[in-house]
Amino acid sequence: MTEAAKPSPKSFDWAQFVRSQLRNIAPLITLIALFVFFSLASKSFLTLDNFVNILAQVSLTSIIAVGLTFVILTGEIDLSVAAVANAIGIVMAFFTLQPDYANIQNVPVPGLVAVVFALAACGALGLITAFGVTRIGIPSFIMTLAMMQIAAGVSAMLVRGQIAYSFPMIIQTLGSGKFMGLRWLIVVAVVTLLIAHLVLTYTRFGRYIYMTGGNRDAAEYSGVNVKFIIGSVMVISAMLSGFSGMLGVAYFGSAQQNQFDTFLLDAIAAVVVGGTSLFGGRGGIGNTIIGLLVLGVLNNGLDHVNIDSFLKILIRGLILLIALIVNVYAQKMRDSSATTE
Amino acid sequence: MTPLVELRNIVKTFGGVHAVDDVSLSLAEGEVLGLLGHNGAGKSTLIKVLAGVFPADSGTILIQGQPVSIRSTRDAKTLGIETIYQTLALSENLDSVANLFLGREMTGPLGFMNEEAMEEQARKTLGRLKLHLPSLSSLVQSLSGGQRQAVAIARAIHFNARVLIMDEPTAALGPEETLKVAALVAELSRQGIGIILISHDIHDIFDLASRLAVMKNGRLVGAVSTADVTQDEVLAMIIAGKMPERPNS
Repeated sequence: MTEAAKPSPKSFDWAQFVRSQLRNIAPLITLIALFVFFSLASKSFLTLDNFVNILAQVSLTSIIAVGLTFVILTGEIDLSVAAVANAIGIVMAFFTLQPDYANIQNVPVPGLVAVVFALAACGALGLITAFGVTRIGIPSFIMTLAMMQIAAGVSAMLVRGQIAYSFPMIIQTLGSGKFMGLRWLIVVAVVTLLIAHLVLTYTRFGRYIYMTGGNRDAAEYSGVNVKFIIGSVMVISAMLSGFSGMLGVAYFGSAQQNQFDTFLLDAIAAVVVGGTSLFGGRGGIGNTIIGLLVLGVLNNGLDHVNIDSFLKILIRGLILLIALIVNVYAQKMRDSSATTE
Repeated sequence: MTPLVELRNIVKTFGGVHAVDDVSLSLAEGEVLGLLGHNGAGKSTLIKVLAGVFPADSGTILIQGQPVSIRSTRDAKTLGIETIYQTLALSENLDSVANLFLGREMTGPLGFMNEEAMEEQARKTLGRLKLHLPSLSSLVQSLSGGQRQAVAIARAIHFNARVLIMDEPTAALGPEETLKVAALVAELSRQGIGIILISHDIHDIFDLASRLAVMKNGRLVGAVSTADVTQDEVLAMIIAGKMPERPNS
């Protein structure tokens, strides 16, 4: 450190570079490989229409995955995202006038009020999670498991096995309408990803999220209110999940129980496959976007090739397992290369 | 000359045990004071009182002759007392600049962080310490032990520290890195910063410190100038708790 800058950079060490960037390179290579494979294996895969299709299919997941990225970056986890999305979609429907055949005893209010109620509801669920994790000290894994059940209970109580079909106009537009030929849903997802990226990269709040995930003691020592940061990401995650749930029911055209069940695995998979560290502190929205595309291409591509539909589930599981191995392996390699320095 | 820091009759007990028992100690501007003692001798407790981790039960702290009240680490930092713990408290997943400003980031309009200004300031501080890191934007986890120590020191003095407390600064470093930290301590001393080095191992700090204070069982055995004593004599102070037997030390 006291000597002058190193004489001249050694010849570029590719192995070292790949090792340090494995977290970012592996997901990208996976995406390219899947893309090339499906393009060759199916005539219908490589079309603009299908590409837009893929984007629409991952849009709902991406809004949930953004909140989850915040949470995982702090080193915590949120297992309640899909259940909260489901509950909030149903809460919104509960406050919307339903057609007679829907047979739900609900409380209709004007559309915008229903939206505000739904947002307040997901804020409340997020605050409960935040309270449990930061004030009581319940590990987020267990706390959000409980919240998953609570949100599922809210869903069940409100619709009682029935299906709701009507939603506020603005949500109907954003969830299933189009804007200059493009689905509003895609626009909303892109804007959400963009804002999240700006917050994580360029604000103190974002920096503190990385710091909380990187070295919690150092963050506290530096005067960062770690509990506030963790509580905040829990609320953000619940809010985005709820928002995605509202758009989701409009996209599906109906609100019912257990409608979002696959979204939990998809959202976690997108974040982790993208390379954001499960241990916190490393990764970001860029990683999540790649992860979302990997999942989107995989889900969509498997429909374009002739594969046993039961096998598809297995393949998805295997891809997730490989991503987990790379994720943990990348962390270990970083740790060991840092200490042997 | 008024000492930079003066601790007078500091007492700190934990459930009846006198962790620090009536200790008085002073630190001059630019002085490098080594604080020695076994684990449990009370050196860490004494330093934590000064750093504001917990307040003393009784006794006074004076900064440049003025009595001050230090009730929290924030109070200590406001008075220019910075502490570097052995763990360094760095966030390895962030770069050097981010670590330098940890918790005190500069923001521009709209609340966005002002990365350019922070990098510029970091460069200045590192320049003041005659430090050259390979790259300010490389993550701390890719830095060596000595370079990390440098980042921690730069962070501590960046916000106008007058007193720098370092806990076991060279314990985890190789010989070459230790020399670099020694040069850094000398440079800070030249700039008038008072430095307290804490260690349980005399060899770690004998060459760095100009004066050594030894504690045993919560009491101050005594303070000696490193020029006047041998390492063996100091070792005897640590173990036996007695001052070397000779006139004026």
